[in-house]
Amino acid sequence: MSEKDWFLPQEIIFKIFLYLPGSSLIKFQILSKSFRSMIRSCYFIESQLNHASSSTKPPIVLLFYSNYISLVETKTWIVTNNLSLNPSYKESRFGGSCNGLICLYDGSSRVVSVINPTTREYLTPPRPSNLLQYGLFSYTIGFVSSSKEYKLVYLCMNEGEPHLEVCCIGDKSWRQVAIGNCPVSRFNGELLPCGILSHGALFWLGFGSYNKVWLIRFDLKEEKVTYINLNIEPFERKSNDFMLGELGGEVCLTIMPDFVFPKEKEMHLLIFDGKSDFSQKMKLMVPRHSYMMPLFISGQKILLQDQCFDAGLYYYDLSNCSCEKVFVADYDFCYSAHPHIDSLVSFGGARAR
Amino acid sequence: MITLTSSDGVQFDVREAVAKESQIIRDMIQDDCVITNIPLANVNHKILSIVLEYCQMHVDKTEMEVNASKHQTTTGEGSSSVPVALKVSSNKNLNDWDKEFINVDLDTLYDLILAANYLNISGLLNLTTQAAADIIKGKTTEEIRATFNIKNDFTPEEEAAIRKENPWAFE
Repeated sequence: MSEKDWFLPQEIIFKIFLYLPGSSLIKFQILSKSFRSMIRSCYFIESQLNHASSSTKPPIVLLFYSNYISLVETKTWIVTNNLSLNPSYKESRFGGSCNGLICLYDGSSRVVSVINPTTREYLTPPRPSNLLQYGLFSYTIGFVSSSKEYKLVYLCMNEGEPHLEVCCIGDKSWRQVAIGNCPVSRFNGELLPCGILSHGALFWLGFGSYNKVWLIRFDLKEEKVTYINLNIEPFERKSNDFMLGELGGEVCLTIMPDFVFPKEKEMHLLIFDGKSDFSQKMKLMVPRHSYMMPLFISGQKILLQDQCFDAGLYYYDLSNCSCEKVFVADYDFCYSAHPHIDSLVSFGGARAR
Repeated sequence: MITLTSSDGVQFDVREAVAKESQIIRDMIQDDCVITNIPLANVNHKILSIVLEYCQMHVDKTEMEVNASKHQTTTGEGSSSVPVALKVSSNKNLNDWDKEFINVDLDTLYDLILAANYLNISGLLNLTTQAAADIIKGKTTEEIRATFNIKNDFTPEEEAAIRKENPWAFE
């Protein structure tokens, strides 16, 4: 087929297609041979990933509940993709989203999988060598941009002794990483959340002696662990309601202090500066019974998920301090929301049926 | 002032700042600073007037914001609790204006894409390609083939094989 058949030049078609959701791209492979080869080309896949990661495209939120996953466009709040895990996990948990790939694992059998929800490619890597049968643990997916490698990281805590292993996606075995003299003796909550990916490293929040707050930092390229003592005011430390997340590419610490007003309460967002302090501190006034987790920031608006009351998504406007509910999924059970990128990135896995 | 002449010979007098929204015109002015009349062989007057409306609005808005921030620094009211990095896009009105602006028929949208591409106006090109993607994403493959004049060169067997690869996408 010659280019002249097209109403628009190929470079413009290419540009338009960068804006399409992944599900449409999968569908439009069938348009013609040249469209199929364009959509499947490494150049297109990389351009689409870069484009989706940049701010020009409205972000995608991934909803995760038990063995189900949905992708939601934040521009229209339309669910564009639904899939269920097969075979399903007994205690399905979320291990992060990175370049369109997600990590899911079973809290019971500790089986881990990597999935691209858009292409439905999946892979079940081996389990780590040293599987302790008790203690807190989590898996996290990460990416090393210099080598273009995807890595899975397994962190577990057994009686105050942390243990960390790493596995490149496609590798047959895990490698143990020296954890050094770990000052962290406990984590927040009953489950260890997955690490937070920022600037080529994964971060977990932990607590040590004298209620010191620590970040465990794992450099994905160097495969080295370091510990960062966070500079947190004693009055802020009174509360145990700390959550670690990512906002605008940076690690973000969410604190829910005990200040509750008749109708609303105050929450703090602290943006980590990469050293031991915070480059930005924001105070948000949110509904009294909510427990908000920030998902992403776009201009003056922060998208939050209420993890306590109705699991709804809210837009918080920094310019006028308003908090408006924008989306609630009609599922009967509780789901978690995660920022996600809709990509066609492939990693040598199989296709789901 | 600069005079832009459309492919069908209609002249538009615009401020230099407005014309410079186009990268190609910016380059021309840089190369030859006495240039005053630029013929645009690939854009007719109907599309050019729409393009210039876009450039005019975006230049006005930027100038307004620059003035406002100058005012803010002189009066010292710039230090609110909102960090500087987050102030980037308070131009909500401009986004609303863009949304209204791009609400055109498909033929005009395609002409605008071609013009934005030819004149190299990145903001307009992003806006129009996004709008085109929004239109086509909900369409069936048959509709897309008709819209873009694409000939299906797969055999029925090949087509069935691709559908089988990703059955959920065609549900």
